[in-house]
Amino acid sequence: MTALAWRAEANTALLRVIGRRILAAIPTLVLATFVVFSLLHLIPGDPAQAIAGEHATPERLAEIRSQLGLDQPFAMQYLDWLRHAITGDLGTSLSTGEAVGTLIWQRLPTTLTLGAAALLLAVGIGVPLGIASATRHRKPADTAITGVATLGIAVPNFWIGMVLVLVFAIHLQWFPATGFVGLSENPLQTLQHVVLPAIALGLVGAAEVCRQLRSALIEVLRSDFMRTHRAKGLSHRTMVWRHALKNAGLPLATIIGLLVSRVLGASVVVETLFAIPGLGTLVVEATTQRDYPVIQGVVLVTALLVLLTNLAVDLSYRFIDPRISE
Amino acid sequence: MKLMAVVWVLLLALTACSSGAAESGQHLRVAWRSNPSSLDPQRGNSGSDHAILYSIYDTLVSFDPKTLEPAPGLAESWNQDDPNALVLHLRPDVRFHDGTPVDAEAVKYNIERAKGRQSNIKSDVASVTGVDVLDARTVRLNLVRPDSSLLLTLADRAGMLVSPTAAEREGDAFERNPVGAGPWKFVEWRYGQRVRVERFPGYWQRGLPHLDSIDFTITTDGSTAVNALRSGQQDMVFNPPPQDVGLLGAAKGTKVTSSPQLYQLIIYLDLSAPVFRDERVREALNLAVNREQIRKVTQFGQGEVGWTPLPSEHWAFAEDRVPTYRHDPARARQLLAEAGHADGLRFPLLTYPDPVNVRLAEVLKHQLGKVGIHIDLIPNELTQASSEFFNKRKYPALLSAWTGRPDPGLTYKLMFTERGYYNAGHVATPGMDDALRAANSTPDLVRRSEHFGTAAQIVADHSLFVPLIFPPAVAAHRENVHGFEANLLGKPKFTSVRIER
Repeated sequence: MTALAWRAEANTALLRVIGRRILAAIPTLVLATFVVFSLLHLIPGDPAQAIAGEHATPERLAEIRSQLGLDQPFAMQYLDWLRHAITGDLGTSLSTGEAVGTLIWQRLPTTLTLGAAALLLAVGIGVPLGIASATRHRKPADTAITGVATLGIAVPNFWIGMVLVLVFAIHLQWFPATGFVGLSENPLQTLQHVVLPAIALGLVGAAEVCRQLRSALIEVLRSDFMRTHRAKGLSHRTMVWRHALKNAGLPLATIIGLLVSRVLGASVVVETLFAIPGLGTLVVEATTQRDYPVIQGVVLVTALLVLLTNLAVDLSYRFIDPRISE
Repeated sequence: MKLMAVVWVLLLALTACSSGAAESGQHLRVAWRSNPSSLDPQRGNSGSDHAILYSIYDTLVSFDPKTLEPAPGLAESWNQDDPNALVLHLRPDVRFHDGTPVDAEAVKYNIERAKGRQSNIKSDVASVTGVDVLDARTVRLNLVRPDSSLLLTLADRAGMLVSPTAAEREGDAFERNPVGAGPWKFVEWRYGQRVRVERFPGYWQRGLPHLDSIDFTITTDGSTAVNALRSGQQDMVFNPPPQDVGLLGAAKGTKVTSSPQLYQLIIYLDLSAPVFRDERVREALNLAVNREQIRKVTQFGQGEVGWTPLPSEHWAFAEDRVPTYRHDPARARQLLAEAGHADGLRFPLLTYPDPVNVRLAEVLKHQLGKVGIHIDLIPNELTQASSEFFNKRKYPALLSAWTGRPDPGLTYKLMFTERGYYNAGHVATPGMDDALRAANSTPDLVRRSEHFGTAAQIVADHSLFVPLIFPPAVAAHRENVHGFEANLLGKPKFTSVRIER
């Protein structure tokens, strides 16, 4: 078999894997949206009441319910939503009448920017610290780093956020305490606004990356082939960066994948704390208003993001370790 | 490690050209607590919409900010000679933002729209049977019965005139493209993010407003709003968390104004619940509560203790006739014993899970516990708690607030008459209807005030609710913000605000 043919075959194999994974994701998406839809109907409170206000007459409530299709049976409401969602129509907000797709589209870039910055920070801090810690196994530096990382995992991100605001926004006035400016409006201001929330969101991730990488690296550094490398006379630096890190790549990719969903979840808290108009604040606002279509839309998009991340992580395994294939 | 150094240098460089980028001119940045429920005054339902609505819409009738007595608005005068009608005389040459004249036809359109299908304020204008245009500047509202509370109701949502041209053209989309006759015109509403308004050059009050534009940035978390104010990103914040008020007053660069308001923290009682059918139990509750301690502990000594539905600054607060419950645990215990609860009494109290309410609920639990009234706190989120108490009537008591209405007639009607929505048990109290009918049959404020005094006495004699405390309305702002005039309604207006740089 020529090299070219082999590569073509590998590519189709890859495509087949991607295709299969995407198909497998569909039931997950349906299940996720169904669970959220059911939960929404389980929590007390009524969008009609939220729209009509406190002393609405029962007639007015009934009228609003029928306008919004809330008088339909539960399963019908869900199927109706699903039918439209498949065609890309996420419906309109119950409280403002705006298209849910538009609302999400306005907010998504903000959350993605913030999430990306947080991930960058988690990896940028976590990886060097993890290496430093593993290569100084059982030395004071290792103990110190591990200690700080454990603390980092234990401290809730909203608390970190509050301390950051107090020190860097109020006392030093280096960074803004709240709000967000889009990349397309003014990238410099985006950077200023993103620093504190990204730290609040990413620091826990950095601690986790550090700890996972440390234990993976220690494992690798102890293995026989590393001893061979050392005997061969490779420099410490080459050993760690070229050989050990590559072998610790799988757990690293896994933890980064997990961090994506963690960061998306935590953005609800951090965006509220910093008054950032992203998906997190949108879903909080929508929940208090019982704005079902908006909540459903955000859940769908978030679930989609997580599934895509998982797919990317799975595929990255094949590149990190070519021995892994179907 | 080199990389980290580079990152730090970049960060420091960033901070050099950083925050509080001062905006020039008369632009006010307000951190506002919640996204408006609607910008159509007749369709929204949240009391926190008013500050934004008042900037876009002027009302037919206005009010004295200190006492809430009616004052001229878009109507420069009125006539109530016929008790079954209210005749309004409109100002000349006033126009909506789109150029439509504010005339008698516009008023007729608005009142009819408020009685229409999409309206959430039908009950506000329930007493109006029809509207007659007498001439371009004179309009008569015909009433089904004498209703002097209607005048101040026209200082609320029902009096916020919308442009008939725009309302007809936009239909359902009007709430996203609102047009009024207020000091500022609508520019933009980014759902859940901000509302922006800019000066209306044709505003009828010459020389007003001072501000060129206002941004209401939606900031749902109180502490976050305080942070934004302290870091200079916002110019004004309303009702920050009580524990931050002292800090903001003392801090450099920020100032705090406290003023009385109608908003009162109270316990709503379901008078039909078995435990509260006996008046003696309700009175015992009122005597067991130590209001002064509540003021000190939960409000840091700010605000005014509550005896009636109205605060002492209000025009209808009849000083000499206002009953007061002294703190008297011994008498409370005695009343409970007489009512057959010598061994104590237990009931669930619904409350909200936010820090202010939880602290208040805990103080109450302690105070009531001392006389043998044991409460089980049931924390529930606002919409849910209201629905469970007022609609489903699952619990006998709710710790919440009365946000006030421009006319006291509405307050008493909604809270204490048999059909009032906030009278959860829908129990009638003898004398109440007569007192309110009398108060609503005369436009004379002195006589109305006397009748409301009678109503206040009936409420107290039967312990229809447990008044607790009027927290102060707090406006915290940057020190270059001047001229803000708080009002007793607790719903800020910005017409007199200016920025001095």
